[in-house]
Amino acid sequence: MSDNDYLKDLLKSQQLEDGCDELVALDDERDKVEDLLNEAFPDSNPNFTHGGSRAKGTMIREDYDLDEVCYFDNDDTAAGDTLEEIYENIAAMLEDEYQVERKRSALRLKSKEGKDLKVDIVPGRYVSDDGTDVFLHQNEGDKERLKTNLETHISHVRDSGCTDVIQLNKLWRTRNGILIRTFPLELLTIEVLNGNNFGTLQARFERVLTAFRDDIDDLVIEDPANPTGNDLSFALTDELRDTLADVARDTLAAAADHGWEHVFGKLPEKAAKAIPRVAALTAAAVSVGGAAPPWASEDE
Amino acid sequence: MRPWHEADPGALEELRTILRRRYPTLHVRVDADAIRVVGTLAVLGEESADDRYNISVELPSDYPRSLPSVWETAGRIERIIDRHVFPASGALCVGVPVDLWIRLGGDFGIENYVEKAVRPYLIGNSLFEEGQPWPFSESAHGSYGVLEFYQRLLGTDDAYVVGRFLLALVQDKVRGHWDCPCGSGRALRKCHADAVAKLRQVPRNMLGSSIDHMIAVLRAKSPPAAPEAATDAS
Repeated sequence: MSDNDYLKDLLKSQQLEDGCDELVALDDERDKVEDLLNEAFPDSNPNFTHGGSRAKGTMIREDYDLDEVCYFDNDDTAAGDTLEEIYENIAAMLEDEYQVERKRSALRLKSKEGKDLKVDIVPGRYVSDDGTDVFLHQNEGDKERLKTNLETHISHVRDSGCTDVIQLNKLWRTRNGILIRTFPLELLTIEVLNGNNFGTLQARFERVLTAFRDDIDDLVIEDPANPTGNDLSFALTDELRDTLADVARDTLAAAADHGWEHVFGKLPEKAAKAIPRVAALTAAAVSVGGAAPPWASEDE
Repeated sequence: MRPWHEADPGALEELRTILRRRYPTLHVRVDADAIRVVGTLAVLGEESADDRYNISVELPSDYPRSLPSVWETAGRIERIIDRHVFPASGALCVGVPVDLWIRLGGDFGIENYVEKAVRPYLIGNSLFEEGQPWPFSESAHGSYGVLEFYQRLLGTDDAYVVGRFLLALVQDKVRGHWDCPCGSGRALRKCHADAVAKLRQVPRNMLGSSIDHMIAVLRAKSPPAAPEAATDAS
């Protein structure tokens, strides 16, 4: 199998098909949150819909979550007069059912036992009666309010012609533990391939990594919905740029020396996936042979 | 002493080459205070996403001669002592240091450390998450865990006897004709020779730390000192 065919099969193995267990679980939580919203704000009719990778077509099995936006009408004050009140009131309402982690603009849901449900709720309010721009509360950073547009974000990514490379990049990020958020990674990928989006999947993916390795300091990202008003520098710090360059250099060298299958590993179809996890782990422990029992000390 | 990567200018690139060949999702990060190896490690192979851990391995300044430290960095392992994590630093406690030193033969190069210390720990943690026992057993916390290691090696759970071994071992010379510290009355060479040979390889500062642990065990076992008798003033 060629490297390009391998990468295409790798992407196929990362697809979440409609009706799969992961998506059903996400949809169940989504429906539950919608019921809670309707119950808490019966006189409102917020736009509660998919944002993020589900809407953009860039979900991958190994690193997925569900972004659900919850946008109230411009003149709707049922959830709060200010953006911060909307954000906090929805968080408080959800806290009856969930542990809620307050992120920059989103609310991350965990079960009461602490299990991450991989669902983010993004409260906001439409800027006007007739447009699709919204204001979001910002829990961090200099500005308390961010103007943006979900539809612009979705179309910018979905229609970029490079969702496949974006998915590979997300897998690359996850496999290498790079702490870059999805949106700046998507914007970087689109920026690199803008006008250069030709060739095989392998060629385009390598083009992106090469740009990360060689030109990361020259790459500029901006919010397509608010190029001048939404400063994304917090999402692409100098330290993060260095990390992207270093890991891209290592990855390209490893792929050149050993091939892409060495970098991403065997495809699940080829692996012994039928072995139950405990049995696989037990076999792995046996293969290790002896090992030191884990220890710990308050004083060390 | 100059850090390892400054003493040998080619050492960093050599480490990168090892990582690319063996662990393509782990990478060298040069920080101001230390060199770290960061990224993810799949304990069951690359295709098993559930068993991929985000880790950061901090290499010591005399790498590969001293024990590195390792952290799980994605919040998967709760940072409490009962999960075998040092509460103060959050580092994983992959074993009693002397035990690790002997098992790894004093070679804390990245491959040896990952394969013989980090991977077994993470496999054990994954099994623990599934409600299974740790496959390589567990050590008691603190000084009692160190005593358990010496019990396995020397066959005694008497901290005083272990202390005698350790005090003999930190001498400049250890002679086979000496009485064995275990108290059997036999010569060392005919009694605990193998165990002593293993411990002779261990750096003295590590043995010195074990002596401190044995003292801590003995102190914990000692009955509290009786209050001084009151002076009869009558």
